[in-house]
Amino acid sequence: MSEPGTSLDPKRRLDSSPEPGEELERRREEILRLRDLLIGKDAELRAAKAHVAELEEELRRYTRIADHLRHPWRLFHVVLKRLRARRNPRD
Amino acid sequence: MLFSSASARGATRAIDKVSEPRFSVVTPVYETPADVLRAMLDSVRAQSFRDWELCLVDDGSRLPHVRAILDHAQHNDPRIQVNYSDANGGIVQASNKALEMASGEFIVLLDHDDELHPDALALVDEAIKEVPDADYIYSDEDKIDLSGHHNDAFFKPDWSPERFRTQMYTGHLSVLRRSLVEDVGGFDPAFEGSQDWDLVLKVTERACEVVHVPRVLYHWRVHETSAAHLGGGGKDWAFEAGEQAIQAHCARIGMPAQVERDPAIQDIYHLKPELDRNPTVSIIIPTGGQTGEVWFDPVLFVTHCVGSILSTSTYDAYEIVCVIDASTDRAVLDELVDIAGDRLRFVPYDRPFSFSAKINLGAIHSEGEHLLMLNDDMEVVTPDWIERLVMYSDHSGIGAVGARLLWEDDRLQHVGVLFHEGRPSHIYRGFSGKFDGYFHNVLVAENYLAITGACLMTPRDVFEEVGGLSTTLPINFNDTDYCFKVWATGRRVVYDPDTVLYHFESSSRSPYVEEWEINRLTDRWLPMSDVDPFSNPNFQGGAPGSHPSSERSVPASGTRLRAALRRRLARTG
Repeated sequence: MSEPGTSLDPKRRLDSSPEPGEELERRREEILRLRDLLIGKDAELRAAKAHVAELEEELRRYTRIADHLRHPWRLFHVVLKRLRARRNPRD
Repeated sequence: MLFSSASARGATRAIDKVSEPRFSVVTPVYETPADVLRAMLDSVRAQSFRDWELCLVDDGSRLPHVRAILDHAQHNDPRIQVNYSDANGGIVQASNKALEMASGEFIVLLDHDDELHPDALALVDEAIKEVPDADYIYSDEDKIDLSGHHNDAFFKPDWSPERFRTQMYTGHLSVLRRSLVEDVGGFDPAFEGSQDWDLVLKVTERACEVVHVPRVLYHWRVHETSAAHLGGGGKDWAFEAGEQAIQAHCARIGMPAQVERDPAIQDIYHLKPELDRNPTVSIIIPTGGQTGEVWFDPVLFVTHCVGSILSTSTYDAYEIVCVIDASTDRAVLDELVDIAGDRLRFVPYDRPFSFSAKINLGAIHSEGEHLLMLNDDMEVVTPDWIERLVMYSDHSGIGAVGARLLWEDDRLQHVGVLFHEGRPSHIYRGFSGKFDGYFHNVLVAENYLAITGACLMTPRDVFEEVGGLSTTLPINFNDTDYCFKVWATGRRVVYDPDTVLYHFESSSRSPYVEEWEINRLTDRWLPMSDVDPFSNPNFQGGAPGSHPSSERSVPASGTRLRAALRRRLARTG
């Protein structure tokens, strides 16, 4: 919002620089800066959380695959189960 | 529960009818050619997902083969039911009869002469499992000609409410939660010809989630009497019904607009603002008093820009806030005062260059309910440009709106921003100004993750809530970052094609982007930008300006859905 002291005369506003106005301006800028910082840090945190969740999911997948490779009969069982499910999705 | 007709014949059937199936495919039938009708039925029977029922209503066909084919289909599959009307009552009446027969959790709309992809219902089911709150699901589609060739694939963006208000882009395949369809009263005969659009508008007004499956799951047959063949010319009444359906939708949601049909392209529409209030707008123009050439004449950009605002705009409730470098020549200020008088407000700026800081400073010194960021090298083309931007910016749910920007040679400079692997780029940059885009996407409103800050209106309360433009990005990507912040508050970002300005930025300009700038952007927003929801994974390069990788090749939808979930997580934590 405009400063109480600003007038509609553009020349006067350019020339005048009342100190209380400058202080208010600085504080409003600082509020904007801090709000941007908050939303930015919040976004970074959520981005990091999403990345961690994605990596953990990948890790679980790789662990399952590694487990199946150690026990091939389990892999065979999973493939068989999926084939059956595809043949009859309501099972 | 078995249908009574099914239980009587149940013992002879290979497939049992299941109670409350996942999907009810709803199809009104009328005088359908025999081979086309059989192909439609075959495409449903061939579904890899088997938990469906097909509700057919023959709307008084006189061709004898229609009843014979439908009877045969019903007899051989308990999941197929047919209702015969004695007289032709029209598509809305027949569709509503089919809805009454439906018992599935979701309604699948299928025309009598079209076909489903064999995995259509399986992939929709997969999407619903990923997003259990989904109330409306749609897919990509293509056309199929008389010789069975597929062409004209339409790879669509994810849910874009603003586009849906100007183009029925979701089309087929459309799947709607039955309870919502019943809540809104089914198909409305007042909009016969555009009854599908009206129904989806009503359902999406209440929907929790809308999901797009980016795979071609529906084949729209082109033949002599089909809507696909007739295109724009044959069904004028249907397009008029479309106009009325959008108008009714605007009234329901409080969008102050008059709907108009495009004069050249019949299936797209435009919103003309009819504002019920005139909020004050502060146009913030950062400038250093630079000069350049406009149509071979030397000009002072900012005075040219302000002059065009004053001479072209039809809106009255605005002020112009020039954030001006302290070193700017006094003569520039005098000229601006002569042009703009009391509308003008100067804010001196004497720090190192930062577009963000200048805009923020201008916002602090302004009074408007809406802030319009504007570069100084612009010229207004559309007289009601402020009304248009206010129409969107003043609507709840919208946090930023931008314009169609042209270079001085009329080529496109900005019609929206798409992301590829987290990096933003202006789509169709440098294309002819007459180019209407992929499925007319230059000419219809659309949601994007980001729009340019060269001309961007935003509500003041949103600007203050998100901390204005980030001063950590003083030169590049501050507008992109701002748009992401707007999305993070749950509001949408809109491109309006009917707000047109010239932007005298050099077309050869290749702004140097520092690596830290892109890193800052991706550190914050990569979960939202790595898979752009408003592009389509079928495009090489991630944008409709590039070629489809292959019309029939379709990537796994899981990646897309996971990305959507990541975006939701990024928004809501």
